[in-house]
Amino acid sequence: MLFNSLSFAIFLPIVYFLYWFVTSKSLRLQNILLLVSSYYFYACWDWRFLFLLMFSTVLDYYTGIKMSDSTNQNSKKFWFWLSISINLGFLGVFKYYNFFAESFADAISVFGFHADPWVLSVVLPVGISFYTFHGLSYVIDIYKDRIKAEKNFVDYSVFVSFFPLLVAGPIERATHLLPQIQRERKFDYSKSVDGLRQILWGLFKKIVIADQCAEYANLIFNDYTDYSGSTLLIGAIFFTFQIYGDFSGYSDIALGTARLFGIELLQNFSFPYFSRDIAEFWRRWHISLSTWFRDYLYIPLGGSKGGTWMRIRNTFIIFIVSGFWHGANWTFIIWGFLNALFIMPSIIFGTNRNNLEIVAKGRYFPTIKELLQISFTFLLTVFAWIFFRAKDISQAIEIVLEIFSKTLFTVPSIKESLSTSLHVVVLTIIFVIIEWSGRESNYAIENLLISRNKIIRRFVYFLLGLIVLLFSGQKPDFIYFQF
Amino acid sequence: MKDFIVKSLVYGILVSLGFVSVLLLADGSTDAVYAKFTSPKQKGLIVGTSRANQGINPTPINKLLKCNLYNYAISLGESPYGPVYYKSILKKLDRSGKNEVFIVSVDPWCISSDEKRINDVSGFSEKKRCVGTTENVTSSPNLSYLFKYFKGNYYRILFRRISFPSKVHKNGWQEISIDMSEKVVEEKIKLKKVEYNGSARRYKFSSVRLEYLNKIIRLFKKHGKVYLVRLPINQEIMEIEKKYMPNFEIRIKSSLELADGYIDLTSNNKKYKYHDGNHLYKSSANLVSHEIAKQILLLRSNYP
Repeated sequence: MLFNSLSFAIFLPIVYFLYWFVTSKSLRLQNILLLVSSYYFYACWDWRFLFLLMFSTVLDYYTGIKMSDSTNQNSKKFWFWLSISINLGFLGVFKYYNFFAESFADAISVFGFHADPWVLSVVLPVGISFYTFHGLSYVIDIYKDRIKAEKNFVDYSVFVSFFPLLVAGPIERATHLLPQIQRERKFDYSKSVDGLRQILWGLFKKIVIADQCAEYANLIFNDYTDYSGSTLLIGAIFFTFQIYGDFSGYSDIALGTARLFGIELLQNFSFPYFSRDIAEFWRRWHISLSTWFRDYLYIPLGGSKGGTWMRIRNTFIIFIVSGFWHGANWTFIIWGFLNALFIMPSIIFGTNRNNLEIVAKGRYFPTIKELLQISFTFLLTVFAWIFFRAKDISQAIEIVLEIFSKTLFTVPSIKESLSTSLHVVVLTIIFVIIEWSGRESNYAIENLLISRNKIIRRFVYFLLGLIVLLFSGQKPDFIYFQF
Repeated sequence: MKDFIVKSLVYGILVSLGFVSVLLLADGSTDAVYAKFTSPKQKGLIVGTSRANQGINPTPINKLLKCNLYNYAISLGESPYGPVYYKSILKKLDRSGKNEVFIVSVDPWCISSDEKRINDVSGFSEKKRCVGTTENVTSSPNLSYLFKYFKGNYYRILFRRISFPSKVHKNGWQEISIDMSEKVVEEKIKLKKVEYNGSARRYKFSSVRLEYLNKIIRLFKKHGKVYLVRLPINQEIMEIEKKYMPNFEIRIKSSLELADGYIDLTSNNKKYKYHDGNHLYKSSANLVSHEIAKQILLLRSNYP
């Protein structure tokens, strides 16, 4: 069930109605309803993998309690490593087994040996990286005595499986989400309106921006050998907006949906393309994953405490692991590596925390310097996205070489279907303007026209809704479902 | 909460109304089929594949014969003769008609099937396509068709009215307005030849399809006169067809006997223009339609 599908448009109001009208008197019933709805939501994709989700939930719930009850460190360690190894084992089998088998076969072929890798033809369970990371953070937090194990199985299961975040995040923390699940939730008119508004903006980003940009990005990337450097650069820019619209759109819908049920999820995006350096970009892009890696990998590795070399080493480790988290492909690893490389100057010169606030706060326009910084950072991310989007490394290199050739200075070669892309360019420009004007809010239209006449504001919402419906039709999956 | 629900509902209804009002603008420029499923029931029909869809304009025929023909031919993928098309024709036909005219376009392909499923009705591919799954073929607007089969995004309905090179007229005829420069047409003919050579290897005569062709003729005969028409095509494609089914007219002997006349225009293949070798260009479609009308008049005077 996709967020941008008719089935979700039916599912959500039904669950909403039952939640606030039928089960509202009992928190326990509300949580049971959320759990059942979440399992139904997941089963709509593939019911067989529901058992994997349930198993993972039971495992972390049980090992969590066992760790909490352990009187000695050895027993605690045993349950901790049992949970970690089974969780990572599942992730390894479903997501990374084929990659390692094929890479091993390729590696030994260099030495003249031939091996037919035994590859598994398994489907990647949707959301496995997300709910596994949920579970891992919970288990690690108990092990480190940051939290106590949750004894209520339903509450814990809702924490893992809450449908708005189940398949593509944000990656929640037990310290943030569990207390909300256990607290009585009251209907709040302004929060509900805000939730719907954020859903609307998320749908706009996904259906109007991401799906339209995808059409042309796919056209160019799929036949990349036919295009000049200038056209390939345009393709990469289309993809840059596609992935932002797609993933941040998903997150907006997730956050808005959760808010309808009185639950606040972690913010996942904060206008990353207005960043002035790569460090700022990573504080604004996929925030729940970046902070996860910071807290559970970077800091345990020593973080920034051990001097510049340790910071450099740890930064490379988290970026490469983050790339690998996205998928079992060298393209993601290179993408992670490139981002680590781009962030190095700020790490070495200690400027990585220079731009903590949003650019041009309280002003309409950025300064020339800020504009140049934003443009440069944007181009660096475009460059890295080429590796993320390419089928394999050789395709990415061919594209990059073509972009850095003389053909970059030629007029983009427009095929018949590309010539109709003008409307996408216009829409993307409008989108960037709206995002810029709302960059000091949690999401672009949170306070849009709030001080204006109600009729104008409602007309704008009507227009946005209408545009979303008019641009619907094709329903490509969300990119991050594959991770 | 009541306030929130009421306001959300009003918002949802208003946006849906705005959306539906755009869908109401869908017409013959929307795609190649939509308009066929929005016209009311018809008393006289032209049936067949895309050759007839683009090649027979009912207007000159209706004018000359004073009849009520509507072009309900679609494409080889959608409307080869068979149970699916037959069922759809039943939905489109106004059975109150008497002494009407019906034109049934025939060629070797519309009575053939993929060799893997020559007579396997359950496996006919058109079953899953729009002709097979559109329950209502006379509703205007036809929202269920638009939701299921409109390709791309709905906003294109607005722009296709200006830019789409094809238009299905109110009489069902699909008029194509495309580049007819020699080079472009030659290239398209080359591609069509490759396609038809491939089809000739893959396709086989299907007795079930022939049976349904006859069933359609019998149905039409209850309401008027039925004329079988073989439309002209590019001579090189004609050669492929001849090789594929050299005994075509013997194959359809039973249909010829059932019909009130057979008009074979392939002897004049060279006289007409085709935009891809298979489909008549609009100017030639008008000429051919006029020719069909004249020949029907002749047949009527010979066999009143």
